[in-house]
Order: sequence, then structure tokens, then C-alpha cells
Amino acid sequence: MISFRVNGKPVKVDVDGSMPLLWVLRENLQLTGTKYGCGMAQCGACTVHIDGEAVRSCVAPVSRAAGREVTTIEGISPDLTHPLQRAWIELDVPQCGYCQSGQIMSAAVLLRDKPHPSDEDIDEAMTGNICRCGTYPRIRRAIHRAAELKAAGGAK
Amino acid sequence: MSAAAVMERREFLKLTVGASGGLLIGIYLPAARSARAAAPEGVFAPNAFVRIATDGTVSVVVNHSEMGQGVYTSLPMLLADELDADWAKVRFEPAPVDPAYNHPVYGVQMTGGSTSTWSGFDQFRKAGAVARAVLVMAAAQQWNVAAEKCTTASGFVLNSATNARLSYGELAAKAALIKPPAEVPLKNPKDFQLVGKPLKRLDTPEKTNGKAVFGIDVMLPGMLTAVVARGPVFGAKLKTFDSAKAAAVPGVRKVVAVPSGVAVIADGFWAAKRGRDALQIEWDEGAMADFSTRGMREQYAGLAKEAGLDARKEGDAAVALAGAGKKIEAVYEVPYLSHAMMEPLNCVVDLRADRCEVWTGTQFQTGDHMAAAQISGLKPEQVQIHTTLLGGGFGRRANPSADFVAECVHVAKSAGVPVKVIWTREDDMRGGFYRPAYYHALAGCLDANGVPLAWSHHIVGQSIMEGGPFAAFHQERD
Repeated sequence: MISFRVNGKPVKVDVDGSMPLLWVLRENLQLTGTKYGCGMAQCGACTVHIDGEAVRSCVAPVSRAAGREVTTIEGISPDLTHPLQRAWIELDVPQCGYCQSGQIMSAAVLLRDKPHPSDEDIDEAMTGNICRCGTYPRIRRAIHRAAELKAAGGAK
Repeated sequence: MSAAAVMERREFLKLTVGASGGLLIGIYLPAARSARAAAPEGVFAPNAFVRIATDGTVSVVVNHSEMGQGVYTSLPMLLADELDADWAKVRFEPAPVDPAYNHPVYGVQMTGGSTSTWSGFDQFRKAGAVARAVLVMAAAQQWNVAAEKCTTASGFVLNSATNARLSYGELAAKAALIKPPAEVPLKNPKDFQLVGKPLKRLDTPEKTNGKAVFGIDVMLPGMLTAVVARGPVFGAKLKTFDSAKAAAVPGVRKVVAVPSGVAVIADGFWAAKRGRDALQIEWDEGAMADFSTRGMREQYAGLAKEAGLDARKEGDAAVALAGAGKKIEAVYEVPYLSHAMMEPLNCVVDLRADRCEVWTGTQFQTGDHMAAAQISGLKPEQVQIHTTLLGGGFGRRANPSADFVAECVHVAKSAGVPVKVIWTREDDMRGGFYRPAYYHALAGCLDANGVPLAWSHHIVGQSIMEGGPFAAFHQERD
């Protein structure tokens, strides 16, 4: 039995500790917002936070989450009010949308470390998150916009 | 373009009072005799669907799949504009599989070829215009005035004489009892309120909080997950397999042979994949065993030197090329390319004795439906396709054999419970239906002033139409 917290709630799962966190989140905990894209930390669709740090959950064994706090896209706000969600909606970032949970989770860590990132900061921080629709220009603009919203006190 | 929507009684699909007392309008427009007869206006096939609930919610049933291109917003915009709907109350809904939702040009239910918005343009407008006309008739009856005295705006019918107004929600139940008019004028495009204006996509909020449901996200009670070992070569056949090690993986429930290979059915993806990786399989690699990209390229290069079929011939390029002038030769090649959707292929099937339900992100509902009926042995009306969001399509999710759906129905036959087949990223990349490789050999010559004197262009590649349901579209050279 492995115990940790997900989006503020304690959970216990009876699985092999080597099972990737991604599948525990998606199948055991039914949090399907975190996506499977490649299974080898190459695309970023599975990005979540463990104790606030971005982790590719498709290669992170669930044992790594034991005793820690995991945050998924479902947990960043209850009502679409996170600055990144507000910016994403304002700029209509997603197309197919499959990669966007991972994009937002990566961007959240960037904004924590650099509240006013440059284009170069964004490109560098987001390079591990692939978007097959090519929404990169809007992702970049939305991260700048989220930085403004956060600075203006919209942050939770 | 026709300025009026024509709807005859027999063409009227459904007009019923739903459980909520809402208005449900379905529209059949005259069907094309053949796909070839369909003009680019795209208004031949039956289509279009709008529901207005008593709370005023306008649900637009969209017959094209949302894979990022925005049809769950653009097609509702067209309908809502003619309806004079309140855009804030407009919702989208994926269409079930039904001939009423066939592509107006292709004559099958599918999404592809960058055709959805233009082919559905007047179709969705007409659906909205008819709904609006019925709501006006309902209001006119209630006020006991002529319909001409009524106008519409933003989800209301307005009485120009008294300034009274009734919302579409208030009128829905009454409207449901009225036979729609045969002819309905469409707006002059200069009067569009929504079309041509940038509006927010309707699907953005659910794509920023993890709530959007793609095929891979579908969960059913008691569902198992399968990963399939497919042949290492296209056309390979299974000879023998040893499932002992796979079956010993905790969580693996069944290991079964299916036409595409060996399916490992387990409690979840991880167990199924570990089981799949532990299989020992012997394949008969078949006729393609020795096929190689290099060998095919050499063959194409050889074919490019031969005559081939003429796509266009003017003058005598060979003579001009042999004459004076500056000669330029070039070869252009494109390789086989995987469509590489962000969401790897997947499918969920719940197969029962008397029904088969399929959940998947598909671009080709008609083909999937036919395949599922054939494989399950059920009647077409016992098979339903639930179209989810697509994590990208690019054509891979529309193919002649409905491969990812057909395979899942086969697995479901063995599973005995609802089952989801997930392709790993590697499976998806190796699994084919690539954009075909092409080889172009060009030769040209220019005169002293740089003006072209001749152009010879040999193209070698595979047809993407031949052998499939779209072969009818295929001319001598597609």
C-alpha cells in the first residue's frame, strides 16, 4: 500500500511501487486529465507536480510519490481561476487539447521560478512539452498573460 | 446557392417533445444520387440537428469530429446565427452514427480533407433557420398575431406591435408541436451576427482543467484494458505464441489471439503492457518480410524513368529537352510519415449479446460502424459509435479497414467485459497507415532569357484511395 496526497486529498493505492504514477492517477484514481503521450518522458503530456516540481509521470514510479503531495491539472484550481487557466481561455490556446494539461503544469513551475519570464525563458522551460497542433505561439503569449494576471493579484 | 431551405414531410426526421419538454428538430435535405453529383456547395446529403431545451439551452449536434480544427464551435456558430440564438446558451454535442449525419459531399459520416466547415456551411444555416421559423410560428400563435409581426434576437421572439417577448426556452414545448414550414429564407450574409466574427471556442474551458474526454479517457464499470502484440511486418501472420510468462504478470486476466496478433487483457494498461512485453511469439512474416525503404526507393527511381500514365501532356517536352537551352534536373522525395497524433490510437468496446457500443476518437464513423457490426455479428442498428474528442487526427483515424476499432471489437469478443485497447506510442508509430512515400523526378530547360521551354515531371507513389471505400473518388490518377 502506497500513501500520498493528490490535489490536497490523502490517497492509498495497492499497486506495485514500480508502476508509473501516470497510470495510478489515470486508472486507479480516475484523474484522466493527465495524459499518456509517449511513455518515455519525451512529450510532456503527462506532466504533474510532486511537491511542486514538474515530473513526467509516465516514467516516475508511484513509489516516488509516497508521502508526498501530487498536483494534477484537476487540482490547480476548482473553478478555472488559476492565472494560467484564465490566460489559456482568454487567448483560446488549445486546439485538439491533448497536450494542454501538461503544458499548463510545466508553465506553472516556470511562473513560480520566474514570475516575468522572457520569450527565451518560456521556450527553454517549455521545450519538453510537444504540441502536435502547433499552438506554441499562443502558449507563449498565454504564459506572458498569466504572468500579468498573477502579478495583478489574480493568483490563488 | 439556394436561398431557401426545403423540407418535405417525409424528409422530416424527428420533431418530438423530449423529456424536458424541449424542441428537437432533425433535418433531412435531399440526398445526393451519388457522391460525384455533389457540387462544392455541399448541401446534398441529410444532416443538421438542433435541440432547444425549456431552459433555453441550444444544443447543436455536430456531425464532424473535433480534432483541434474547431468544428465544435464553427458549425454551431453557423446554426446559431440563423437561429438568432443567444451564443451564451449554445452547446455542442457529438452526433451519433446515422445516415442523417453523413458528410454532404462524401456521403458517409466522416471528417477529413479540410471539408467540414464549407460543406456544412449552408446545411447548418438551414437547420438554424428552420428552427427559428418554427419558434416564430409558436410565438405568433401564442400572441395571436401574424408571424410577420414577429422578429427574433438573441434567443427571444419579439412582438413588434406590443414589445412583448418570449424566450426560445419558453416557446420550446409549443414549437415542438408545430409542423415546420417547407421553405425558409436564409439571412443575407451582411446580417450575420456571429459568422465572420472571432468568438471563443466552446471547448476551451474543458481543455484547461482536465475535464475534456478523449477516447483514451473513457472508463466503463468493469472495464479491462488490453495491449496487443502486432506483427513486426505488415501482413505478418501469427504462427505460435507462448503466453505463460505474460499470464504470470500480476493483473493480467487473459491472453488471446486476435486477427491482428495477440491481445493481453489486464486490469489496467501497465499490467497489459508488461504482459505484452513478456509474450513469446513466432510470426510468419509473409510477402513483405524482405521489404525495405531502400529497395522501394530504388524501385521508384527506376519507375520514374519509365513512361507511366499521362496526367497532362502539352507539346513535346522530350523534344524540347533534347534541344538547346539550359537543362535542370532535380529529384524530390518525401518519406513514409506517421501521422503521430498526440493521443495514441485507442478504442473502447462494450459488446453484449444484443448490442455493441464503441467509444473512440474517430474520423470515420460509417466505416467503424460497418466494421463493428460485421465483426460482432450484430445488425447495424444494434451498434452505436460514441465519438469522443480526438487528440489529433490528421487522417490516421479514418482508414478503410477501421483497424483500431475492428481490433478492439475482436478483443472484446474474448474479453467478455467492456475493454479498452490502448496502442503504445511505439505501436502507434509502427502500426502503419502512413502518409505514403513519393518520388518526383523533374527535368526542365530554360532559354537564354531564363524562360521555361520544357517541363517534364514524373511522379511515383502509392494511391491512398485504391482498395478502400473512397476508391469511387479515385480517377485514373488520384
